[in-house]
Amino acid sequence: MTRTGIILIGLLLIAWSSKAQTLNLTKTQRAAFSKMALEKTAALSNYIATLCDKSSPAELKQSAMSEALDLFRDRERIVQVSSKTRNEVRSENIERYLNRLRVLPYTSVEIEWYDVNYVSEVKKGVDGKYYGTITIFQKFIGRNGEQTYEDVTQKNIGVVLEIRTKRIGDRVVEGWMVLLGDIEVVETK
Amino acid sequence: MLTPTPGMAQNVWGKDQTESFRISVKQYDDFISRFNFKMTPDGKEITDTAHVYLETVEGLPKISRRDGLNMLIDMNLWKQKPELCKKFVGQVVAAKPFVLDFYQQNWYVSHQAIVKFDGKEEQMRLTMQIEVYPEVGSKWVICGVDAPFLENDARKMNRDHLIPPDSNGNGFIALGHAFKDPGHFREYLPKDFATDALSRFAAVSKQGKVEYARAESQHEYHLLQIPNWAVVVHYFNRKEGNRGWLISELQEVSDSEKELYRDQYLNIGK
Repeated sequence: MTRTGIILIGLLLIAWSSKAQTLNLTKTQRAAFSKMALEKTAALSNYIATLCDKSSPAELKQSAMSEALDLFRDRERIVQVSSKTRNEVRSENIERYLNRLRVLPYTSVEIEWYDVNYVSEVKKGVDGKYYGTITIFQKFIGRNGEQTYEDVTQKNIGVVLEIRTKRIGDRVVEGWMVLLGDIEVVETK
Repeated sequence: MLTPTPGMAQNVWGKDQTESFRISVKQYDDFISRFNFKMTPDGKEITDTAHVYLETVEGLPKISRRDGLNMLIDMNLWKQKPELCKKFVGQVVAAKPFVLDFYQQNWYVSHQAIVKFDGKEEQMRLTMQIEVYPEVGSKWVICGVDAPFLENDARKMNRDHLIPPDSNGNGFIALGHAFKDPGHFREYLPKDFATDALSRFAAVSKQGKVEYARAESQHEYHLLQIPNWAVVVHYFNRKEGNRGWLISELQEVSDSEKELYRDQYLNIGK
């Protein structure tokens, strides 16, 4: 999604932000939140596919990296990976995680989505922001010549709805934005 | 009666992995929805709020809340303690059905972590609780802790740090020295002085001695809000049978036993 798109979504959300003062969002608000959260998640997957693909030009990778990081609340977000075979949980910050993907040796990458997702109830934090978690299932296929690597993962992605200000020309616009938070990756296969 | 069995995802709900993911209980909110029969065992939202038998997907003639609850219990617990499982489900769907709510009290999360204490890696168990501020919002708080470095072990008295016995004769001037000696402040407190683990944790954290390293394993939920029951919900990552967040342990407990449970299993108030 482009930056302009993000601003527009923020402006659209102003209309219902004043009503979102109870602990839970209404059904309509939750549906809007879910839709935007899924869009952000899809955008992140596209950027990841670009980063993992060795044939992507360096400038494109750099741009994908920057756009991917812009999807998050900040660069301190954590990606935590738990393996089905190893009894350990690894975690690293999002910037480091994406940088690691950049140097994977795949000549082509596909990320397939399973037609299943789940968005939790969206809960209001004491800081006034709304928090939810979206669960998606994905298959990653990386090819390098004759070799193919595949994994199937469940990703639980934190999503936060918060107020952000943006400068448009000489005006500062305040709007609600949906941003990604910490990510838990659970290997399922 | 519909109860979970190995291979049921394939046998009952179709062969592809999508179906297996669909029936998996993906998050604790998903567990609550299924427990309250707002969602069918194959992950379809129930808009009809009447908790009665309803038509569902092809191949399954009818599903009840009882069936939904059966599917929320780990298949191995069904094998080991079928009568206990039936009793639990029976009581939840009894005349006054019990429903779960995220903002209820008396449910906790046990989180196993690796932390660094004074630069050395240590295991630590943290008990988390949701704290609700009406009309404001909510947040998780740490309400219990357990770690080797928080044990209140026997200690040797350091004889060089004291408020001398004659201090009452000079207006306790020595208190000024004691306050300038934070490293030995324990020496100025009674020998039987004890703090609970959470207070000790707060103190060492404030001193910057503890650093969170990583989660050691998936956390688990301890539900004590269901009358007469203590329920553990654990994450099961497997290909066959029921999967995701499922009931892994059931115990019949009285209210007084729940106090003991909070103290012994969750380290609350220790």
